[in-house]
Amino acid sequence: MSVSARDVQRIGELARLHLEDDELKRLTSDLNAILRHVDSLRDLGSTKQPEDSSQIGSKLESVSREHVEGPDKLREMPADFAPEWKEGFFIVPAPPGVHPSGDQ
Amino acid sequence: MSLQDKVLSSSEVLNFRGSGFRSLDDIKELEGGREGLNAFLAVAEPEDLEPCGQGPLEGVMVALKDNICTKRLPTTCGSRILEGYRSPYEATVVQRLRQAGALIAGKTNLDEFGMGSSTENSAFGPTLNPVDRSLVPGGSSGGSAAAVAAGYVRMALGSDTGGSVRQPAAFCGVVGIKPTYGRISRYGLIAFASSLDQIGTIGATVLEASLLLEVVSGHDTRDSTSAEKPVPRYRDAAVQGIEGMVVGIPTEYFPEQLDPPVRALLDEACERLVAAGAEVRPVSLPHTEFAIPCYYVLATAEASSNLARYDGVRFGARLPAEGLDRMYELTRGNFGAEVKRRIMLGTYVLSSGYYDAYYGTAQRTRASIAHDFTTAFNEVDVLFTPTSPTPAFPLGERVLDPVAMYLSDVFTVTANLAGIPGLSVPIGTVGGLPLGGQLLGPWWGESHIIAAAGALEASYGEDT
Repeated sequence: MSVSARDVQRIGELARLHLEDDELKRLTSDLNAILRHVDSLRDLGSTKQPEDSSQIGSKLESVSREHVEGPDKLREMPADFAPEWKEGFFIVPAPPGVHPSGDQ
Repeated sequence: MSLQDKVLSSSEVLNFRGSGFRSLDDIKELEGGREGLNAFLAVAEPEDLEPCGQGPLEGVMVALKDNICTKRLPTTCGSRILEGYRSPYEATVVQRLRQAGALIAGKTNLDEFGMGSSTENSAFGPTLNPVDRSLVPGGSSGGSAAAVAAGYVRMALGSDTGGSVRQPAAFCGVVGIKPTYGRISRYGLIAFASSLDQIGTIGATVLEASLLLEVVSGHDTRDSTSAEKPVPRYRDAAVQGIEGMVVGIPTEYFPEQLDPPVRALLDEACERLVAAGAEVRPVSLPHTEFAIPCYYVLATAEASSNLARYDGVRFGARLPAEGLDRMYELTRGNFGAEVKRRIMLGTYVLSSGYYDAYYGTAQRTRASIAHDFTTAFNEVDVLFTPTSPTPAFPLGERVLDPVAMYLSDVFTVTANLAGIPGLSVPIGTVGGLPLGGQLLGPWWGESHIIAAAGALEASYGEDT
């Protein structure tokens, strides 16, 4: 499979990456080179394969523990670890277009 | 040294090669001078050295790859997008090091978010190989490997998603261990590909890398993928010998294209294993050829998801823009070229219409690769392979050819895909450059590969 510059532009939008024109050109070339290599996976064809990766490391074990009720650290601790904290609230940067005073 | 009873104290381990330790001032002076390697992104100040416990690493300086969270030092992942970022918490491995008495010397350079095989993808410039400054140190834990090889520290932590501890250890002539997935807590390791990432240890000797592994291993309630298994005394495994051990030589890891001097060193290492009491026999891992494409589909898919969190709102840098979507796009433009390439590939292979063709196929291939190892370890105790097809390559040689760079990992990614432990140990030099031999073990078989590496190291030591 291969991708066009338009495909790459669309992938960039999905990935929320701004791409300059020269980046778009280079990424189109790079992704096609990589995809040519990745396409060798299809050569596996009809060889018998395990159904999925759940069989990986049959000696690996799922880890779970008994549920034990404990103190909720968040009830007491935010002021200790928050970079900025005021009157019971986390202080975060204002979103674009919103001024700290609340004016749009 | 009490080698006879095979039980070593930590001071015996640390003095095994009789080497001294450098101070923070030494490290700063070395890194700041003309001979600096750019191995460190931050060196600790004396006031950063928090009081530590009286464990097996008391007073020992340990360097940390800069994708491991620390409270006192910044954690950048080698990325502009996290420049100056200070984590509000620290990784479990950092706490364990401190409890063991270690001092955190600083944070080491890496390929941005661990994505690369040469440490050239750091936003803060490449690290140079201390063996030859015109060469790469390998990657992505190149700063940690270079810091140990240059003698700045005797031990360092790295992370290994596809070979990022073992390959730079090989390129710099030191020892690198990637343990079984789940052996070391990943709490506080900034995620690249969560099903493949594992913290690993780098040491000047097998003993030092093993002692460090012993200290940081073990279950952690803050990482549900860490295993509730007892931690053996790995330092003892390093000197226990390999009498009767069966070592498999996978034919797929010795292709005809290997350079004759590389092959000759690998053959010699096999002979040394036999001389130390092991039996060597050929085995086959038939799906090896699919490992690189499989790895780059799965790792990039996971990376595209993990790195979605860097949007300018919650972490690090934010670029001003009109509107939220534009702010996201411009801020994420701070990623370097290789990170963008992998996010793009990962987004593509997960997109509608391509998901099963790429991601689904890669997941099934991963299971086949793991099955190959299960079959092999029914016959042998460990496997011996090259760590990398070549010694260290020149700076800039592969930076514009992503496929060539990816193929540097051809012998290491399989251990990550299967979750098994791997170790790289120096086995000589080619044209004056170190070459690494890789030992792969069954799940939780760290002691086996450490024993084999210890035997090899002792064998070479007897020649010098």
